[in-house]
Amino acid sequence: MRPYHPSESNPWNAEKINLVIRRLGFGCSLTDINLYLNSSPEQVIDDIVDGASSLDATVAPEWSQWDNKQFNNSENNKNYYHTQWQKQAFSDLVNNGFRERLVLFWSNHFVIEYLDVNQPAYLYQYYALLQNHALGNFKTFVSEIGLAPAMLRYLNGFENKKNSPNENYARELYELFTLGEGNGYTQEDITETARALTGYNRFATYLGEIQFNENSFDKGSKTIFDQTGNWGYNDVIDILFEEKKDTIANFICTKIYHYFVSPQVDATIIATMANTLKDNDFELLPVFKQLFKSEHFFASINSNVIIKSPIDLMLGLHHSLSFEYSDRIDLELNFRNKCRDMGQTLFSPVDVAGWQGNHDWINSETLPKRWEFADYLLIKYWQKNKNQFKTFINSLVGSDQTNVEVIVTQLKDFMFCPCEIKEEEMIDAVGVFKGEVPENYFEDGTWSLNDSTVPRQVYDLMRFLVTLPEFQLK
Amino acid sequence: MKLKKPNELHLNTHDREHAHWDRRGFLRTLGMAGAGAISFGNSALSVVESPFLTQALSDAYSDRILVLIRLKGGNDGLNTIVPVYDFDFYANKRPKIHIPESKIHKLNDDFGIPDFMNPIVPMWNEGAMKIIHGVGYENQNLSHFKSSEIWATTTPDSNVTSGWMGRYYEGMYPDYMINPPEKPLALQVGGGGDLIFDGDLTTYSFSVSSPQRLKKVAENGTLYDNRNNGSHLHGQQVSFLREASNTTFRYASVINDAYDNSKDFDAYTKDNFDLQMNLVARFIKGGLGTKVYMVTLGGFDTHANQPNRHQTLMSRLTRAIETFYDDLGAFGMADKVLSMTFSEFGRRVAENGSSGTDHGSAAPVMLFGPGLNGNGFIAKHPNLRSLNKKGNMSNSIDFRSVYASVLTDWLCSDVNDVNHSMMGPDYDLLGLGLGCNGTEKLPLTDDAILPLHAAVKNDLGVRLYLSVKKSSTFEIDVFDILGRKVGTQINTRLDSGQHNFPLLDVEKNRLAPGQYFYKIKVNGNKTYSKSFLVR
Repeated sequence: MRPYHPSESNPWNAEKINLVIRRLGFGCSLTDINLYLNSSPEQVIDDIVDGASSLDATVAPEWSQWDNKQFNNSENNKNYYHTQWQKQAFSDLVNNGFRERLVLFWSNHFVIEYLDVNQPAYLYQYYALLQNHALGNFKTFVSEIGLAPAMLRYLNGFENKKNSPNENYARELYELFTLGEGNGYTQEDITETARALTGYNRFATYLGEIQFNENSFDKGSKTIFDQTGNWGYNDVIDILFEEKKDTIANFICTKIYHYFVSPQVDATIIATMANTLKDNDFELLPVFKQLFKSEHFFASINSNVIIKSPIDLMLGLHHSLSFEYSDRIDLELNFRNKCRDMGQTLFSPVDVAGWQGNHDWINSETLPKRWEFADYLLIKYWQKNKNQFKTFINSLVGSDQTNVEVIVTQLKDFMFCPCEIKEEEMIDAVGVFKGEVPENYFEDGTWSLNDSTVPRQVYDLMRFLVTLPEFQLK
Repeated sequence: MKLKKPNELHLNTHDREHAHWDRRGFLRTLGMAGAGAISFGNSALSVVESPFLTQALSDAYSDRILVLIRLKGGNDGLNTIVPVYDFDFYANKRPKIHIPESKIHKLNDDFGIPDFMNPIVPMWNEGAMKIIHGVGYENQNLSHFKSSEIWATTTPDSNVTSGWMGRYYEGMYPDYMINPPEKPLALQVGGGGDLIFDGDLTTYSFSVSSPQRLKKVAENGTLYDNRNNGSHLHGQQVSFLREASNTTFRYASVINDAYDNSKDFDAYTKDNFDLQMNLVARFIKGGLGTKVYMVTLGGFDTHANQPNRHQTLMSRLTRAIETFYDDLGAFGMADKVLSMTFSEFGRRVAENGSSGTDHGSAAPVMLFGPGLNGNGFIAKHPNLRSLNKKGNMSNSIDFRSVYASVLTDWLCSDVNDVNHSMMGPDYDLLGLGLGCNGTEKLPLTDDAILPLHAAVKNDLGVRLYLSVKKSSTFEIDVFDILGRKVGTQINTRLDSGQHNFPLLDVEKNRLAPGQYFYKIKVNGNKTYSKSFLVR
């Protein structure tokens, strides 16, 4: 995988920065572009990845270790705490960029559904775990996620006992978390693994800490991937990562590639990533860095091929403009509800396999909502401060720019990372931007970006651009 | 006849905040497949049929069609309809730019049109053209933008962001967002920023920014051209998204059907305005069923070199109108179509120093169509010699009277819908006497209640505001979008005067966010209905 070194024919520019920030975070702002324009791609990636790696986890809420009784005795129902944490997560997504991008990724890999778990403290603990391991060691991650109370509840590890094994977690551990469906394991392996994973069945208090119980652990001999012994939880993970190194590395790297680069895999790149992962004993950070610094990552063929998730759509637009909105609006709650309405409820993917993304995000039901909700944000910014639309366009194109086509193109490029749209829609866009201004104002030099009509013109153009099909891509 | 316009809107800032963000939120999303358009929590509404509303309210009016022709930039009325009766004064005020007497075609002894407008002379002669003098409003605002907005919203109050046609439709189609009609109610070319068709909750016109774009939609039956996207992954994704978008918009195919059902009339030129009129004619001939069209001709802001520019514009306008009516006439539909020009203002009486005119006030509105049954002038021409400090004439007719008259006399609209549409001061009907499809003018009785407004408050629930003119019995029901009653029926007698009372307790009734309707039956017969939004 060749690193990307800017050259005259392949320069480092706003477009490239836009691509990185949109994929590693949520939407790219003018501030981001200005911040990184004079850095090398390598510095930028180091900055972003190291920054995410050293970022502290979100401060725990007071209820982070509560058990069921404490929740029952509190003033609020569980729904209240769930909502509070979803809002916190949205706030983190808005503020933290890449680290939370990873948390979102991992929450769609090691899936739980919070309503099934129905214990807010478990949700918090799960979330903290995702934050702490987002750029850590994949093997450790796998090992710890399986013992997270949320996961023990969700995939029935808690019900998995000696004499009454429950295969659910064992199956998903292989099928969804590490190997891929039918990829190098047998039903025997699952049955035996389930037995090895028994024992995590005791509440310290009801729906409080979950402890290991010697008595419900199956102490018999198990054969997993042809290795026989009195295996327990840690042995399963060790054997898995020893016997299935290649499959695991290939599986997780493919998933990372899909998420960050393209729905169409490039086998050579995946192989390189997988080697890096294995060479580094399943440390994730070097894999991400290598991928993001590569020429491949920045290749134009990979630009605008990913369909935005609802969270991408909302947060991306919000961050890229970084506009003010009324402080009376509970933005996190709005994000949560609107993303839910578009099919993405945080901590509640569609099923245990997670959102499949890509075309699954789009249908006649969700598409109009995407238009409506992007529009909603723009209207909120407008209501708060019309002039910020003018300030923004002046920063973007320079206040002395009077060529309408140039202005429209630059805004389109900024919002679309750039992506070509059809000529007729470009003509439409120009028409929308000209708006109510008499045509002759543009010809005789009356009009400039300082005019009082400019906020409205920019606002209307943005509202037009977010409805174009291409806006759904990143 | 004098119609009393409700002067209380009961629309406070808070209520507006609730309703506001949806406004124009669907600017580009008109006619999308079913109600999936609107997000009401997670409910799947795309197949919902509202059982009681649309059918009761749609097509209550005639098969007549209205074409609004917007002359954008401020058309110079004095060089359009020349006041021959005071020619010397007119010419003196405009030494460089007046229309010379030799080039005026007289419509009668007092008024004429420049000879470059001759294409419409036959229409005048055949009784298919009327002119309303001096249309404008008090305290003319001289900004293009503000004045266009006033012409659209019918009020200088910036807090009102709905347009007259928008409110008109809002009254007629309370469940529009849930249950959009199969055909676009209105179709608009150009003027994306225009508020005319905007209601409080949505916009009621299918709007495209250019006639070229409209032509493509008409030809392809899709909103987005889905060809030549390329075979690389990006192109494939674009194709997928364009396909999905096209499926979601359903009006495109309806427009395509009408277009394919009709043929081009070959007298149109390639001119941009001709194209607009040509397309409108094709939709009419093809049976689209849309009743109101708006087309736009821009470039009227003639501060300099007015003579050439104005001549070009008026030639284009009048030629296109001539062709349009020839086209419809050959098809046998000319008498069903009324066209009306309007502009945000006229221009100053005196010319400026660069052979042009600056922003003015009152100006004529021209009506075209054989349905007019006669030519003539309506109202008095404003006095050229009695000007305000800025050198502008005062208006003789309030533009709201023109709107209300067209709605009432041409579209045979119900007085309640017209009242809902108009804001601002009282307006007079002009008595255009267009017969409303042969029937007598609708009786304009004093209605028992006006206006209606439901305000949704966070803490108080939904309150209904109404002013009652005559003591009457009121039966009030609230429905959700499925037509199911929610809350309890109110059955009460109200005395004349202003009333407001709780309609619904949002908390108690566990109302999901979304659109609701109330129906009011007065004295057991007359029914009013309007929607409101709970968020």
